[in-house]
Amino acid sequence: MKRVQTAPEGPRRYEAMFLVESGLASKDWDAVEAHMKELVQRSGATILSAGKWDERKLSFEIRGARRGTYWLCYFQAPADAPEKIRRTAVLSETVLRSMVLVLDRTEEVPQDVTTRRTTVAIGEDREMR
Amino acid sequence: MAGDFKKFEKTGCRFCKVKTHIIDYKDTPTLTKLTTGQGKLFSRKRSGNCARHQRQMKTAVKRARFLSLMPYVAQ
Repeated sequence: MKRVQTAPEGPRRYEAMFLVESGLASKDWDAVEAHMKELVQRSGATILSAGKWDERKLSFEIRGARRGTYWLCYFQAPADAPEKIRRTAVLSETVLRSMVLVLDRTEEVPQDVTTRRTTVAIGEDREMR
Repeated sequence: MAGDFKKFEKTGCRFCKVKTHIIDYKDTPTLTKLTTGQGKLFSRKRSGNCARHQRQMKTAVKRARFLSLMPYVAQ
């Protein structure tokens, strides 16, 4: 059976995760967040929802950092925006790691970014934070 | 003897059971259960996942590793 592709409706939505060193984030979180917001918005993106996702010990050291703070952002942008964001994030000294993913059209953008999507409850019903 | 065979319960894909469409890379507690203590991915035979969800799980784990949410190699 031939698959029929439907035409895209409007600009795509993306999910971006940025990793910052915890020491830097705790010192001046507002400045760090403003830097990352600026980084996203410079590419012509409209932020739908954003916020601090978590602060935790890293699985491995990145540029000497042992702890990291994650900033999660959902945005709407033209197709060339993710590449622009990736390029600027790599050059940024504040951001240790960044990842931009295309959000599925069926998925809804959570207003509270700290709510994690429960993939599946293995064993018992776990309540995700 | 034909009647002596044990009836094995079919163990289906755990993601199919709850009708999951997307496996989230941020859900590390679930992903950790699908990796060995060393941090390697479980095979389909071991995890019981269907092909589609095994592929999704593989991608999710690799994304989690890139962001240092999960280790490439645990010590």
